[in-house]
Amino acid sequence: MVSHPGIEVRGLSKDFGSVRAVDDLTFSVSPGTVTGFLGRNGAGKTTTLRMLLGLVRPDRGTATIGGRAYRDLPAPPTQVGAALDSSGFHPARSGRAHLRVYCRVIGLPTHRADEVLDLVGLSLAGSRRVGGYSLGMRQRLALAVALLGDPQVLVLDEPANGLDPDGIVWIRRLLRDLAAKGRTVLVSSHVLTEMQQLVDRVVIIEGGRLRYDGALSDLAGRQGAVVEVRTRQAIELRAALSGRPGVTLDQDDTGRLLVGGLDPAAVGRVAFAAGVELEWLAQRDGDLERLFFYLTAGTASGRRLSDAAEAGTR
Amino acid sequence: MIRLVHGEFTKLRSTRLWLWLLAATMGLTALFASLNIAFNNDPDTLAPPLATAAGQRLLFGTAAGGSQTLVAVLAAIGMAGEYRHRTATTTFLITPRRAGVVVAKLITYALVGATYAAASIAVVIAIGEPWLSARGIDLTLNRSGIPATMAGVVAAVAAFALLGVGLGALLRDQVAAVVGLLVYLFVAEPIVTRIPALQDWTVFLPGPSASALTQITLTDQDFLQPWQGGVVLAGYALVVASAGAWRTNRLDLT
Repeated sequence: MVSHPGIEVRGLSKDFGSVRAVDDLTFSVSPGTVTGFLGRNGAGKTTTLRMLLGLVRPDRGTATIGGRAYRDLPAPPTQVGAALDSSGFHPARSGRAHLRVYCRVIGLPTHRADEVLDLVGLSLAGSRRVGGYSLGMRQRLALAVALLGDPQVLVLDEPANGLDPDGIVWIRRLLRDLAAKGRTVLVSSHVLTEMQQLVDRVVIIEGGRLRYDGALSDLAGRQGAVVEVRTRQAIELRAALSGRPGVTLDQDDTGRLLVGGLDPAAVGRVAFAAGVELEWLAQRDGDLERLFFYLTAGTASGRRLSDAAEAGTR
Repeated sequence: MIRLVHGEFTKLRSTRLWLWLLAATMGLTALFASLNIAFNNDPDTLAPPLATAAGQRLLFGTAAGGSQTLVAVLAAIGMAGEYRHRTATTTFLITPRRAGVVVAKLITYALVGATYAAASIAVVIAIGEPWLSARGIDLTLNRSGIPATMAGVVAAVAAFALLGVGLGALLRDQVAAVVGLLVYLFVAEPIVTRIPALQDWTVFLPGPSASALTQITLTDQDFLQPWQGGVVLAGYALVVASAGAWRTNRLDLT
């Protein structure tokens, strides 16, 4: 067994009829990291994950885990756990029976089913038929299947989809715990904010193509934290700030000045020196949500930030 | 492979379908056997008298009629149900070499089919033994040809289980597989086999091949030698199951 396998996706492509679902996609996931796989619905995330896991045959390219295709791994479920579909259950089968089927096939003792039910908080519902489960419970059961073989790598497709806020907090904590134990996690989502406190790196795709691959903090830095300033002497302040290297100036719809490249203290010093009175001075964090929106929008509106996307692409 | 088969049995046991279909199989066999015995004295019947070995073989042959179709339905649902309930994704994640899953299902449902056939034979004995002894007839199990007919029933039902799994893998649509099976077995095949001009060919169809295995038919149609029927039926099972496994292996599970 490979102790710390990473994920490598190289030139992966897949067409469904005339639609190119995944287009020459290349990225890697380092061992022991949590990587967010982001994109809008229909961007090609699910198809990519399914190719990685041997469920969909790529037209071109390769996807490997620890250097091997998923189907060539010895005892795959003990190395890679995957939760792809929160509706893949027989409604008349209990959650526990569903897990026991796969315990048998993997060769695990059946009490492992109870252990993972406990892990995902379904101990009490385990003997009930899945047909009566809520979406959140089915998400947890799908995760339980992924955890059965105690794998080093987890691949999760929209695990937070349909979860209530409690559930999202719960899954975030669970994934952070797993990451702290050195597991490699690749988790997809179409909501960036779900990922913000969870992932080390993000891979963003749109239209099946890579738009960004790198650290989340770099992405935030690139869009840039800006300093919001409100003053009646905007013209004087602009004059005092302009011409400084690395400083950008912009204005938002409410007339606030947006200063990039300086921290609030530095902006305050410049204003003081120029005798400008400030009414409002605040740090605005990199607007990830907006950046994400631009990165994942179609090419027309995505153009504005395509520089950021390209700069972030290795 | 043993683990895969074990998993398939766990799947089967975790819902009640197998129980309902076993009850239906035994009920149907009880009905066929009762009708057979009740109307055997009818002067118009084609059937040989129940006091003869041929008559008793015919009685045991009804067990196959009761089991074949329902076992094929159970097997088709066992395979196509993976797609209907979207469990196929998890099943093929756990076992990425998908042909292994199909083979495990073939083994599992062949064993289940043999068990259902045995249960049906037991029903025939339970009904026939007291009823016939009331008429002063002995139901002799080791009489000429009867063990062969029983073995033929078990083999034919197991072969239908293989056909069911293969069909489920080929069609993947549970409703289409079940409806297709029923329409074929109850409508298409009975019509075609009644056309005398086609009898040279229709003896090779699955139903008549199963009749060849048991050497029993409830109609007056011809059938092959038992071994020929066995070979033909095994051939169908092999072709359909291989095609199903091939299709399963190539499938994109989106």
